[in-house]
Amino acid sequence: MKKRLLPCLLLVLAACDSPTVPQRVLTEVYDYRLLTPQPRVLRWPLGTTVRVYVEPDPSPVATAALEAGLENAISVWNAAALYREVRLERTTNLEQADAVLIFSNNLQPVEVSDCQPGGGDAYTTFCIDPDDSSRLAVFPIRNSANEGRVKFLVTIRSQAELDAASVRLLVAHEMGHVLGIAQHSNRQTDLMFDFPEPTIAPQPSAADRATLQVLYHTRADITP
Amino acid sequence: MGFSPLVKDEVRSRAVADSIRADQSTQLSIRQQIAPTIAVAALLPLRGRAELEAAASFATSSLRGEDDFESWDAGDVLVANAVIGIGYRYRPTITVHGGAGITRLFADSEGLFAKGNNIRPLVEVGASWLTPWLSGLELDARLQTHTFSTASLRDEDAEEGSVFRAALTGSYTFGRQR
Repeated sequence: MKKRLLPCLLLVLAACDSPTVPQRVLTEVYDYRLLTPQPRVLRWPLGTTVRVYVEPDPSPVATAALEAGLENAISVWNAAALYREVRLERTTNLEQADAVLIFSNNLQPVEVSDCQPGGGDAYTTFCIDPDDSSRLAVFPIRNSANEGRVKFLVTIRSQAELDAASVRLLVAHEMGHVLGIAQHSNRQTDLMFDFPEPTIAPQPSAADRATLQVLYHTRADITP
Repeated sequence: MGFSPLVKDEVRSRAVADSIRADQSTQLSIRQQIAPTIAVAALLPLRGRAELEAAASFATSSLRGEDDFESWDAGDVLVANAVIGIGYRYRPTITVHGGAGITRLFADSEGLFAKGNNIRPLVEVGASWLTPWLSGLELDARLQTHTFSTASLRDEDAEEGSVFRAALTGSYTFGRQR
Protein backbone atom coordinates (compact mmCIF):
# COMPACT_ATOMS: atom_id res chain seq x y z
CA MET A 1 0.00 0.00 0.00
CA LYS A 2 2.78 2.42 0.97
CA LYS A 3 4.58 1.61 -2.29
CA ARG A 4 1.54 2.76 -4.25
CA LEU A 5 0.93 5.80 -2.10
CA LEU A 6 4.38 7.33 -2.60
CA PRO A 7 4.29 7.60 -6.43
CA CYS A 8 0.76 9.03 -6.20
CA LEU A 9 1.90 11.63 -3.68
CA LEU A 10 4.91 12.55 -5.84
CA LEU A 11 2.62 12.91 -8.86
CA VAL A 12 0.34 15.26 -6.97
CA LEU A 13 3.27 17.33 -5.71
CA ALA A 14 4.82 17.53 -9.18
CA ALA A 15 1.59 18.96 -10.55
CA CYS A 16 1.46 21.55 -7.78
CA ASP A 17 4.10 23.96 -9.07
CA SER A 18 3.10 27.14 -10.88
CA PRO A 19 3.39 27.30 -14.68
CA THR A 20 7.06 27.94 -15.35
CA VAL A 21 8.70 29.56 -18.36
CA PRO A 22 12.15 28.02 -18.90
CA GLN A 23 15.42 29.93 -19.17
CA ARG A 24 16.15 31.80 -22.40
CA VAL A 25 19.25 30.35 -23.99
CA LEU A 26 22.16 31.91 -25.84
CA THR A 27 20.88 30.77 -29.24
CA GLU A 28 17.89 33.08 -28.72
CA VAL A 29 19.12 36.10 -26.80
CA TYR A 30 21.37 38.61 -28.59
CA ASP A 31 23.25 41.50 -27.07
CA TYR A 32 20.84 44.33 -26.26
CA ARG A 33 23.28 46.70 -24.56
CA LEU A 34 23.98 50.21 -25.79
CA LEU A 35 27.48 50.38 -27.25
CA THR A 36 28.88 53.28 -25.28
CA PRO A 37 32.62 52.94 -24.43
CA GLN A 38 31.47 50.48 -21.79
CA PRO A 39 28.25 48.65 -22.84
CA ARG A 40 25.28 49.91 -20.85
CA VAL A 41 21.70 48.76 -20.42
CA LEU A 42 19.03 51.18 -21.61
CA ARG A 43 15.40 50.46 -20.83
CA TRP A 44 12.26 52.04 -19.46
CA PRO A 45 11.37 51.46 -15.80
CA LEU A 46 9.17 48.37 -15.30
CA GLY A 47 5.48 49.12 -15.78
CA THR A 48 6.04 52.18 -18.00
CA THR A 49 3.60 53.14 -20.76
CA VAL A 50 5.60 54.68 -23.62
CA ARG A 51 3.50 57.16 -25.61
CA VAL A 52 4.21 57.64 -29.29
CA TYR A 53 3.07 60.59 -31.39
CA VAL A 54 2.69 60.38 -35.17
CA GLU A 55 3.70 63.61 -36.92
CA PRO A 56 1.15 64.15 -39.72
CA ASP A 57 2.50 64.10 -43.27
CA PRO A 58 1.04 66.44 -45.93
CA SER A 59 -0.16 63.28 -47.66
CA PRO A 60 -3.04 61.62 -45.76
CA VAL A 61 -2.03 58.29 -47.30
CA ALA A 62 1.47 58.60 -45.86
CA THR A 63 0.08 59.58 -42.45
CA ALA A 64 -2.24 56.58 -42.56
CA ALA A 65 0.72 54.31 -43.36
CA LEU A 66 2.62 55.60 -40.31
CA GLU A 67 -0.45 55.21 -38.11
CA ALA A 68 -1.07 51.68 -39.33
CA GLY A 69 2.59 50.85 -38.77
CA LEU A 70 2.40 52.18 -35.23
CA GLU A 71 -0.83 50.29 -34.46
CA ASN A 72 0.84 47.08 -35.59
CA ALA A 73 3.98 47.83 -33.57
CA ILE A 74 1.89 48.51 -30.46
CA SER A 75 0.03 45.24 -30.87
CA VAL A 76 3.04 43.01 -31.48
CA TRP A 77 5.40 44.54 -28.90
CA ASN A 78 2.70 44.70 -26.22
CA ALA A 79 2.17 40.98 -26.77
CA ALA A 80 5.94 40.38 -26.54
CA ALA A 81 6.23 42.11 -23.16
CA LEU A 82 4.86 38.98 -21.54
CA TYR A 83 4.30 40.40 -18.06
CA ARG A 84 3.44 43.97 -19.07
CA GLU A 85 6.92 45.17 -18.21
CA VAL A 86 6.47 47.98 -20.74
CA ARG A 87 3.61 49.08 -23.00
CA LEU A 88 3.45 51.15 -26.15
CA GLU A 89 0.50 53.48 -26.63
CA ARG A 90 -0.38 56.05 -29.25
CA THR A 91 -0.96 59.65 -28.20
CA THR A 92 -2.32 62.50 -30.26
CA ASN A 93 -0.84 65.06 -27.88
CA LEU A 94 2.79 65.92 -28.65
CA GLU A 95 3.30 67.33 -25.16
CA GLN A 96 2.57 63.89 -23.66
CA ALA A 97 4.71 61.95 -26.12
CA ASP A 98 7.84 60.00 -25.16
CA ALA A 99 8.64 59.28 -28.81
CA VAL A 100 7.80 60.87 -32.15
CA LEU A 101 7.30 58.97 -35.42
CA ILE A 102 7.90 60.98 -38.60
CA PHE A 103 8.72 60.71 -42.30
CA SER A 104 12.11 62.23 -43.12
CA ASN A 105 10.77 64.87 -45.53
CA ASN A 106 8.83 66.62 -42.76
CA LEU A 107 10.02 69.26 -40.33
CA GLN A 108 10.84 67.65 -37.01
CA PRO A 109 8.43 68.89 -34.32
CA VAL A 110 11.22 68.65 -31.73
CA GLU A 111 14.67 70.20 -31.53
CA VAL A 112 17.38 67.52 -31.60
CA SER A 113 20.26 70.12 -31.63
CA ASP A 114 23.62 68.30 -31.47
CA CYS A 115 22.00 64.89 -31.49
CA GLN A 116 21.82 64.50 -35.24
CA PRO A 117 20.00 61.52 -36.68
CA GLY A 118 21.34 59.35 -39.47
CA GLY A 119 20.89 55.87 -40.84
CA GLY A 120 19.36 53.71 -43.54
CA ASP A 121 15.69 53.34 -44.41
CA ALA A 122 14.76 54.21 -40.85
CA TYR A 123 16.59 55.41 -37.76
CA THR A 124 15.91 56.12 -34.11
CA THR A 125 17.60 59.13 -32.56
CA PHE A 126 18.24 59.57 -28.85
CA CYS A 127 21.00 61.11 -26.75
CA ILE A 128 22.30 60.60 -23.23
CA ASP A 129 21.65 63.65 -21.07
CA PRO A 130 24.98 65.55 -20.82
CA ASP A 131 24.16 66.51 -17.21
CA ASP A 132 23.08 63.04 -16.06
CA SER A 133 24.49 60.01 -17.83
CA SER A 134 21.82 57.76 -16.34
CA ARG A 135 19.07 59.57 -18.27
CA LEU A 136 18.23 60.44 -21.86
CA ALA A 137 18.04 64.05 -22.99
CA VAL A 138 14.62 65.55 -23.70
CA PHE A 139 14.17 66.88 -27.25
CA PRO A 140 12.31 70.18 -26.66
CA ILE A 141 9.15 70.81 -28.67
CA ARG A 142 9.66 73.55 -31.25
CA ASN A 143 7.82 76.84 -30.77
CA SER A 144 6.24 75.77 -27.51
CA ALA A 145 6.49 77.02 -23.95
CA ASN A 146 6.13 73.42 -22.84
CA GLU A 147 9.40 71.56 -23.30
CA GLY A 148 7.55 68.22 -23.47
CA ARG A 149 9.13 64.83 -22.73
CA VAL A 150 10.17 63.45 -26.13
CA LYS A 151 13.32 61.37 -25.86
CA PHE A 152 13.16 59.32 -29.06
CA LEU A 153 12.73 60.55 -32.62
CA VAL A 154 11.89 57.70 -35.00
CA THR A 155 12.41 58.69 -38.63
CA ILE A 156 11.21 56.67 -41.60
CA ARG A 157 12.96 57.74 -44.78
CA SER A 158 10.39 59.14 -47.21
CA GLN A 159 9.65 56.85 -50.11
CA ALA A 160 9.14 57.96 -53.73
CA GLU A 161 6.43 55.33 -53.99
CA LEU A 162 4.87 54.63 -50.64
CA ASP A 163 5.13 50.97 -49.63
CA ALA A 164 2.82 50.51 -46.63
CA ALA A 165 4.15 47.00 -45.90
CA SER A 166 7.71 48.31 -45.79
CA VAL A 167 6.67 51.17 -43.48
CA ARG A 168 4.96 48.68 -41.19
CA LEU A 169 8.11 46.56 -40.97
CA LEU A 170 10.40 49.55 -40.39
CA VAL A 171 8.17 51.05 -37.69
CA ALA A 172 7.96 47.69 -35.86
CA HIS A 173 11.79 47.40 -36.01
CA GLU A 174 12.41 50.95 -34.77
CA MET A 175 9.94 50.55 -31.90
CA GLY A 176 12.16 47.69 -30.71
CA HIS A 177 14.92 50.30 -30.34
CA VAL A 178 12.55 52.69 -28.55
CA LEU A 179 11.87 49.91 -26.04
CA GLY A 180 15.60 49.60 -25.40
CA ILE A 181 16.98 46.90 -27.71
CA ALA A 182 20.02 48.96 -28.59
CA GLN A 183 21.77 46.51 -30.94
CA HIS A 184 20.79 44.35 -33.88
CA SER A 185 20.28 40.64 -34.17
CA ASN A 186 22.61 38.79 -36.54
CA ARG A 187 19.80 36.51 -37.77
CA GLN A 188 17.97 37.54 -40.91
CA THR A 189 14.74 36.01 -39.62
CA ASP A 190 14.55 38.40 -36.65
CA LEU A 191 12.66 41.69 -36.73
CA MET A 192 15.67 43.33 -35.09
CA PHE A 193 18.11 42.22 -37.84
CA ASP A 194 20.03 45.24 -39.12
CA PHE A 195 18.25 45.29 -42.47
CA PRO A 196 15.07 43.20 -41.99
CA GLU A 197 14.06 41.29 -45.11
CA PRO A 198 10.82 42.62 -46.64
CA THR A 199 9.49 39.07 -46.58
CA ILE A 200 9.54 38.63 -42.80
CA ALA A 201 6.46 39.27 -40.67
CA PRO A 202 6.40 42.71 -38.98
CA GLN A 203 6.47 41.19 -35.52
CA PRO A 204 9.13 40.11 -33.02
CA SER A 205 10.53 36.62 -33.57
CA ALA A 206 11.03 34.18 -30.69
CA ALA A 207 14.59 35.51 -30.38
CA ASP A 208 13.40 39.14 -30.31
CA ARG A 209 10.86 38.26 -27.61
CA ALA A 210 13.47 36.41 -25.55
CA THR A 211 15.85 39.36 -25.83
CA LEU A 212 13.16 41.81 -24.71
CA GLN A 213 12.33 39.59 -21.72
CA VAL A 214 15.94 39.36 -20.56
CA LEU A 215 16.47 43.09 -21.18
CA TYR A 216 13.53 44.03 -18.95
CA HIS A 217 14.87 41.86 -16.13
CA THR A 218 18.34 43.37 -16.30
CA ARG A 219 19.23 46.24 -14.00
CA ALA A 220 19.14 49.44 -16.09
CA ASP A 221 22.12 51.79 -16.37
CA ILE A 222 20.13 54.34 -18.33
CA THR A 223 16.39 54.98 -17.97
CA PRO A 224 14.77 57.38 -20.43
CA MET B 1 -8.87 35.65 -1.75
CA GLY B 2 -5.09 34.91 -1.78
CA PHE B 3 -3.10 33.22 -4.53
CA SER B 4 0.02 31.20 -5.26
CA PRO B 5 2.15 32.54 -8.18
CA LEU B 6 0.27 32.55 -11.47
CA VAL B 7 3.50 32.20 -13.43
CA LYS B 8 7.18 31.71 -12.66
CA ASP B 9 9.88 32.56 -15.19
CA GLU B 10 13.50 31.48 -15.05
CA VAL B 11 14.50 34.42 -17.28
CA ARG B 12 17.94 33.45 -18.63
CA SER B 13 20.53 30.74 -18.75
CA ARG B 14 24.03 30.88 -17.29
CA ALA B 15 25.45 31.10 -20.82
CA VAL B 16 23.40 34.25 -21.49
CA ALA B 17 24.70 35.80 -18.27
CA ASP B 18 28.28 34.91 -19.20
CA SER B 19 27.91 36.28 -22.72
CA ILE B 20 26.02 39.50 -21.94
CA ARG B 21 27.71 40.96 -18.90
CA ALA B 22 25.01 42.81 -16.99
CA ASP B 23 23.10 42.49 -13.74
CA GLN B 24 20.34 40.09 -14.83
CA SER B 25 17.55 38.69 -12.70
CA THR B 26 17.53 34.91 -12.25
CA GLN B 27 13.80 34.46 -11.67
CA LEU B 28 10.55 36.37 -11.66
CA SER B 29 7.04 35.61 -10.57
CA ILE B 30 3.63 36.99 -11.38
CA ARG B 31 1.16 36.79 -8.55
CA GLN B 32 -2.47 37.80 -8.17
CA GLN B 33 -2.93 40.15 -5.24
CA ILE B 34 -5.34 39.51 -2.39
CA ALA B 35 -8.74 40.63 -3.60
CA PRO B 36 -12.31 40.94 -2.34
CA THR B 37 -14.69 38.31 -3.72
CA ILE B 38 -18.41 38.35 -4.36
CA ALA B 39 -20.08 34.93 -4.29
CA VAL B 40 -23.61 33.56 -4.52
CA ALA B 41 -24.61 29.98 -3.76
CA ALA B 42 -27.68 27.78 -3.74
CA LEU B 43 -28.04 24.82 -1.38
CA LEU B 44 -30.21 21.76 -1.82
CA PRO B 45 -30.59 19.41 1.19
CA LEU B 46 -29.75 15.81 0.39
CA ARG B 47 -30.11 12.70 2.47
CA GLY B 48 -28.89 12.82 6.06
CA ARG B 49 -26.34 15.53 6.76
CA ALA B 50 -25.32 16.21 3.18
CA GLU B 51 -26.35 19.06 0.89
CA LEU B 52 -25.71 19.92 -2.73
CA GLU B 53 -24.07 23.28 -3.34
CA ALA B 54 -23.91 25.35 -6.52
CA ALA B 55 -21.82 28.51 -6.29
CA ALA B 56 -20.51 31.28 -8.51
CA SER B 57 -17.89 33.81 -7.46
CA PHE B 58 -16.12 36.81 -8.95
CA ALA B 59 -12.98 38.63 -7.86
CA THR B 60 -11.14 41.52 -9.49
CA SER B 61 -7.49 41.23 -8.71
CA SER B 62 -4.36 43.10 -9.77
CA LEU B 63 -1.32 41.18 -11.00
CA ARG B 64 2.01 42.04 -9.46
CA GLY B 65 5.34 41.04 -10.93
CA GLU B 66 8.50 40.65 -8.90
CA ASP B 67 12.05 39.89 -10.06
CA ASP B 68 15.35 39.97 -8.20
CA PHE B 69 15.45 43.77 -8.19
CA GLU B 70 11.98 45.28 -8.14
CA SER B 71 8.24 44.74 -8.43
CA TRP B 72 5.77 46.21 -10.87
CA ASP B 73 2.08 46.43 -11.77
CA ALA B 74 1.43 43.72 -14.36
CA GLY B 75 -2.25 44.52 -15.06
CA ASP B 76 -5.60 43.36 -13.72
CA VAL B 77 -7.62 40.17 -14.06
CA LEU B 78 -11.21 39.25 -13.30
CA VAL B 79 -11.48 35.74 -11.85
CA ALA B 80 -14.82 33.99 -12.38
CA ASN B 81 -15.62 30.58 -10.86
CA ALA B 82 -18.59 28.22 -11.04
CA VAL B 83 -18.51 25.23 -8.68
CA ILE B 84 -20.85 22.36 -7.87
CA GLY B 85 -20.10 20.40 -4.74
CA ILE B 86 -21.24 18.54 -1.69
CA GLY B 87 -21.35 19.86 1.84
CA TYR B 88 -21.41 17.45 4.77
CA ARG B 89 -22.35 18.56 8.28
CA TYR B 90 -19.53 17.04 10.25
CA ARG B 91 -20.57 18.70 13.51
CA PRO B 92 -23.66 20.79 14.22
CA THR B 93 -21.67 23.96 13.56
CA ILE B 94 -19.03 22.66 11.15
CA THR B 95 -19.59 21.68 7.53
CA VAL B 96 -16.90 20.29 5.25
CA HIS B 97 -17.09 20.92 1.51
CA GLY B 98 -15.71 19.42 -1.66
CA GLY B 99 -16.51 20.37 -5.23
CA ALA B 100 -15.45 20.77 -8.81
CA GLY B 101 -16.18 23.34 -11.46
CA ILE B 102 -14.68 25.75 -13.92
CA THR B 103 -12.71 28.96 -13.70
CA ARG B 104 -11.63 31.62 -16.12
CA LEU B 105 -9.37 34.64 -15.88
CA PHE B 106 -10.46 37.65 -17.95
CA ALA B 107 -7.80 40.22 -18.84
CA ASP B 108 -6.74 42.70 -21.52
CA SER B 109 -5.39 41.02 -24.66
CA GLU B 110 -1.76 41.86 -23.95
CA GLY B 111 1.30 40.04 -22.67
CA LEU B 112 0.57 36.56 -21.44
CA PHE B 113 -3.13 37.00 -22.33
CA ALA B 114 -2.40 38.36 -25.83
CA LYS B 115 -3.57 35.18 -27.53
CA GLY B 116 -6.49 34.45 -25.26
CA ASN B 117 -7.12 32.26 -22.26
CA ASN B 118 -9.28 29.17 -21.88
CA ILE B 119 -11.76 28.00 -19.26
CA ARG B 120 -9.99 25.67 -16.81
CA PRO B 121 -11.29 22.89 -14.55
CA LEU B 122 -11.12 23.67 -10.85
CA VAL B 123 -11.41 21.63 -7.66
CA GLU B 124 -11.98 22.94 -4.17
CA VAL B 125 -12.12 21.75 -0.58
CA GLY B 126 -13.10 23.72 2.45
CA ALA B 127 -14.88 23.99 5.75
CA SER B 128 -17.36 26.43 7.22
CA TRP B 129 -18.27 27.30 10.75
CA LEU B 130 -21.77 28.38 11.77
CA THR B 131 -21.15 31.23 14.17
CA PRO B 132 -23.07 31.44 17.42
CA TRP B 133 -23.54 35.21 17.02
CA LEU B 134 -26.27 35.27 14.40
CA SER B 135 -28.36 32.44 13.07
CA GLY B 136 -27.37 31.70 9.46
CA LEU B 137 -24.03 33.55 9.61
CA GLU B 138 -21.09 31.34 8.57
CA LEU B 139 -17.35 31.80 8.25
CA ASP B 140 -16.04 29.82 5.34
CA ALA B 141 -12.50 28.82 4.27
CA ARG B 142 -11.88 27.26 0.86
CA LEU B 143 -8.78 26.08 -0.97
CA GLN B 144 -9.09 25.95 -4.73
CA THR B 145 -6.67 24.72 -7.35
CA HIS B 146 -6.74 24.83 -11.11
CA THR B 147 -4.30 24.35 -13.95
CA PHE B 148 -3.13 27.42 -15.84
CA SER B 149 -1.48 28.18 -19.14
CA THR B 150 -2.10 30.46 -22.10
CA ALA B 151 -1.19 30.30 -25.78
CA SER B 152 1.41 33.03 -25.19
CA LEU B 153 3.01 31.03 -22.38
CA ARG B 154 3.07 27.91 -24.55
CA ASP B 155 4.83 29.95 -27.25
CA GLU B 156 7.59 30.50 -24.67
CA ASP B 157 7.76 26.73 -23.99
CA ALA B 158 6.20 27.12 -20.55
CA GLU B 159 5.11 23.98 -18.77
CA GLU B 160 1.52 23.91 -17.59
CA GLY B 161 1.20 24.09 -13.83
CA SER B 162 -1.25 24.59 -11.00
CA VAL B 163 -2.41 27.69 -9.21
CA PHE B 164 -3.77 27.64 -5.66
CA ARG B 165 -6.21 30.08 -4.14
CA ALA B 166 -7.31 30.43 -0.56
CA ALA B 167 -10.63 32.19 0.04
CA LEU B 168 -12.01 33.35 3.37
CA THR B 169 -15.62 34.49 3.31
CA GLY B 170 -18.38 35.43 5.63
CA SER B 171 -21.78 34.32 4.39
CA TYR B 172 -25.39 34.45 5.38
CA THR B 173 -27.73 31.63 4.39
CA PHE B 174 -31.42 32.32 3.89
CA GLY B 175 -33.91 29.58 4.67
CA ARG B 176 -31.51 26.95 5.97
CA GLN B 177 -32.81 24.73 8.74
CA ARG B 178 -30.41 23.07 11.10
